[in-house]
Amino acid sequence: MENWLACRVGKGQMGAEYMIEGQTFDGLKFTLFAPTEFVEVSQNPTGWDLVPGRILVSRLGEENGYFWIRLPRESFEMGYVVRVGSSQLTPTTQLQEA
Amino acid sequence: MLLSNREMHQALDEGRLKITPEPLPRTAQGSQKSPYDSHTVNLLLHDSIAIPIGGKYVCDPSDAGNQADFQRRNSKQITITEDQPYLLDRNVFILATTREEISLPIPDVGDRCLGARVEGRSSLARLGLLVHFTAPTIHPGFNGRITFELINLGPAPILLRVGMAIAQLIVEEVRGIPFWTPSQFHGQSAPEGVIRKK
Repeated sequence: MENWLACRVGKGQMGAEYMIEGQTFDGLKFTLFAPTEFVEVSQNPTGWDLVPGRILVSRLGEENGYFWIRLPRESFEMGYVVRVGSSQLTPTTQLQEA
Repeated sequence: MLLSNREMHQALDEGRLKITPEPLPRTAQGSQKSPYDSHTVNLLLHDSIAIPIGGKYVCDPSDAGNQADFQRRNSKQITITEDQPYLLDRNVFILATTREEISLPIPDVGDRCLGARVEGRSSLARLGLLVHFTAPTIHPGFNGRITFELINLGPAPILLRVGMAIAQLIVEEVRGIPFWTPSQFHGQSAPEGVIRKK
């Protein structure tokens, strides 16, 4: 099931990608570069600033009230799969309606 | 098991492999060569290049949460065009991508899926061009452009032109469907563990 994961978004290293900074359920940071089509931003990031945004992820399963999700690209710090809190996720359908 | 060109075509027709735009023609047409060889298909160079900037800094892979930010801040982004190719000097390292988007969907049912590897081309290798080092694997479930780590180890600068056939894709069958069992990561933030600051 696809969900949006809240994150912070910055300019990427190459064209057609963004830099993503996300957090696990326990507050650890992870970073990755993701194609722009997987990301929505409130405003286009300029310079080195990060802006609020969300990234499309696959929800894999639930454990103790937290969710394992698969990122669309491998994060530098934690690989593809990380565990996040339910409040960080939004169903894609709900966002499209918003 | 590696897929032959014939099996790659079948996988494309069945949607098990997606390459956009699709490399054509599938077979040679008169003087027009096919990008397919016996079990490979050529991939083309896209127009976006990132050039890491040298400086008085140290790369620290254990600097948790800052890896992507570090990389983007220490690189310059350029776009090449047909009129303005990029001259890759000797011993210079850059990043680039394929023009094609590759998709290796993991099916909901069945017991097989596809993975892939990207490799260099022998003609360019003879000039000293590496298109990747240590990172050729494209995992099942991947969807997007493949990033090259290009370096010129040859004796002379190499002209990189947008749309040139720069690498080849090898597609292989993965037996079984990979899964991500949450229980196996019990108590961790991530299955591979995390880099923590000391």
